[in-house]
Amino acid sequence: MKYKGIPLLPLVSVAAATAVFAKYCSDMRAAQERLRGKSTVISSPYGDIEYSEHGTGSAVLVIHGSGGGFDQGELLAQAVLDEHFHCITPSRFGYLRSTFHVGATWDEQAHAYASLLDHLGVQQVGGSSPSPPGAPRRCCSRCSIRSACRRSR
Amino acid sequence: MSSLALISCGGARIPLEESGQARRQGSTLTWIFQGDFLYWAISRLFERQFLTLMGVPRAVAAGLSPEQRGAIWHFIDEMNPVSLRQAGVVFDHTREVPGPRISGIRVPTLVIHAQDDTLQPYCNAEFFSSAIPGARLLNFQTGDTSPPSSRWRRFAQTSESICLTMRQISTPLSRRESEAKHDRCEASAARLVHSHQKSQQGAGMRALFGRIRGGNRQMKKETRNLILFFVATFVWTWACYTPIAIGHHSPYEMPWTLLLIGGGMGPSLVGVAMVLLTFEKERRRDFWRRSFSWRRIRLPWWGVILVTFPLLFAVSIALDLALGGATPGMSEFKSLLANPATLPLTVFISFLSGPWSEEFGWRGYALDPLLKRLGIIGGSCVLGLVWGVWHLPLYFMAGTWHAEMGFGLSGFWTFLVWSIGLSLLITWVYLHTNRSILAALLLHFTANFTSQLVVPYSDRVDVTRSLLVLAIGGAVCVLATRKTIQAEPRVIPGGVPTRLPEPARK
Repeated sequence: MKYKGIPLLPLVSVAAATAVFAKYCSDMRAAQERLRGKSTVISSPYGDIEYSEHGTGSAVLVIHGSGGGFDQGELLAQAVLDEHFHCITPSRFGYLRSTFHVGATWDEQAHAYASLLDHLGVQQVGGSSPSPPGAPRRCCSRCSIRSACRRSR
Repeated sequence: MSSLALISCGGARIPLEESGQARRQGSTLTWIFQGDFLYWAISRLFERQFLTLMGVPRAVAAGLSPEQRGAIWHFIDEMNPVSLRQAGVVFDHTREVPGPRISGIRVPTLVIHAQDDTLQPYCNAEFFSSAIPGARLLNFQTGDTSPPSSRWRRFAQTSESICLTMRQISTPLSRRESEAKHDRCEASAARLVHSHQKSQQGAGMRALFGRIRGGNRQMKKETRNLILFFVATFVWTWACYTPIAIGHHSPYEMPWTLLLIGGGMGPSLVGVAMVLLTFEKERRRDFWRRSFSWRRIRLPWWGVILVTFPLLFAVSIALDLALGGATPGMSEFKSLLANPATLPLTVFISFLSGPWSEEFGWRGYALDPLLKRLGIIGGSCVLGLVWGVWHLPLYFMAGTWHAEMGFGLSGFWTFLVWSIGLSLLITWVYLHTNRSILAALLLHFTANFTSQLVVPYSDRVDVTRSLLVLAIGGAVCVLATRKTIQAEPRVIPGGVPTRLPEPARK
């Protein structure tokens, strides 16, 4: 029922905490490593825009959900699109290496997409996006894609 | 823009009262995204709850295959490190949605959404499909498309639709071709939904049939599981303790300390494993609620938990003094008075070594089926006896409190009486606190801690306190049994009274 004086219990706790912390650091390093060198950043009037692109064929702008980044866009593209598409996966404002401006709007985000498409020389694009989890009130940026693509034509 | 696919998309201005749950989930997720460690730890420790937060209905999460779980885990893991995404998440969560502006979209649009999506309510999809001219809605009755859980599963089925939509960019289809392809996709999706519903109906029928067959089979299964619990607990603990006892090693030296701690945790580890393996979802939830909910313990019962054992020891010591005994040494108590800063650590160790490491098994798993079969007194006595015997190897380990007691008058046999009495008392408190495992845990702690503070004490104090606890425990349980017989108790899933019926008001 009771074990008097287990002096090593705190030490075991400290060892466990150290192991957890080591695992956390290792996971974070792996996550940073995974992101390194896989994307490109361009400057635009709306700040830096990070993106990656894969495949050849019809261009599709794959926009990630909340909590994402270009990497989540890539996951989405792998899941829903076959290999015959040119997938362009940007990071939205405030994600990974894309700039975040205080007071940014969805329209500005759309213009940023347009800048990116202009930079890539893409004239026509399809849009695909999941919901941003955690952002029920967020604007569906896809509504702005329309203006973005109009600009890019 | 040539075409658009919106997957589980939000954007409608939903009235506050209808979007309460989604807003709460969104706020919680935004909070979790505030820190790398917070997200990392929560997503690993509370995987199931995290999925629910991401909008996966519990039923869907429960039915995922290992591959699907792997895909979800990959998706969640890839959000690390979240500090690089935090500003975007806050932006998403706080900006005003476009609402009717979305009606300006004029390109072919495919809206994909699950009706049971809790994070992005389905009304978003209805809004999009009605507001965007010509938009097609591909819906699923269940399955959630918001987080990746079944999204991946659904995506595999809907990707054809998306690809078709996208292909309109380079190879514009005639209206008839486009509609024909859309119809084909929707028919395919409908077939999938139908087969899913059918499998769910099948599961429901099987569950219903199982309930009808009911009673005896369930009872036998529970008894078998209970025996399995006891056997596994004894095997686990004694397998850890035996090498220390046989080898005459000090349990306070490495690596034997690890065996001592590991063996002591047997009841809780096996108990929790049995709960996870044998309880259905509702009972599992009930178990965790009972383990950690403070609110089940009403104020008077806090008094009982905190005061009973100090009072019991005070009476035992007073009796001993009256009969010419000496004042107990109270070495630990004096040491704590001299170094009050060590109190938290002492309390922590005392809480872990015994209450925490045992009660999830003894009271959390084993008590309910024993009460159901043997009644309050029988069930508690059997559990107390098993509990006492479980400590047996400790009597053969040099340096333990039990070894110091030995097999004399104030030794193993008195300890058995104490265990049975304490078991009765804990059952009484357990039943009066809405079957709170936490209450049992705390009562076990106060019993141990009080004893720890008073030690060393005479054999007479030891015998007296054991007899007193047996007498008090027996008395309160007899009273509890009478009350139970007089009034029909409420029953929870698992067939155990939730609590003793309230005494009739005069």
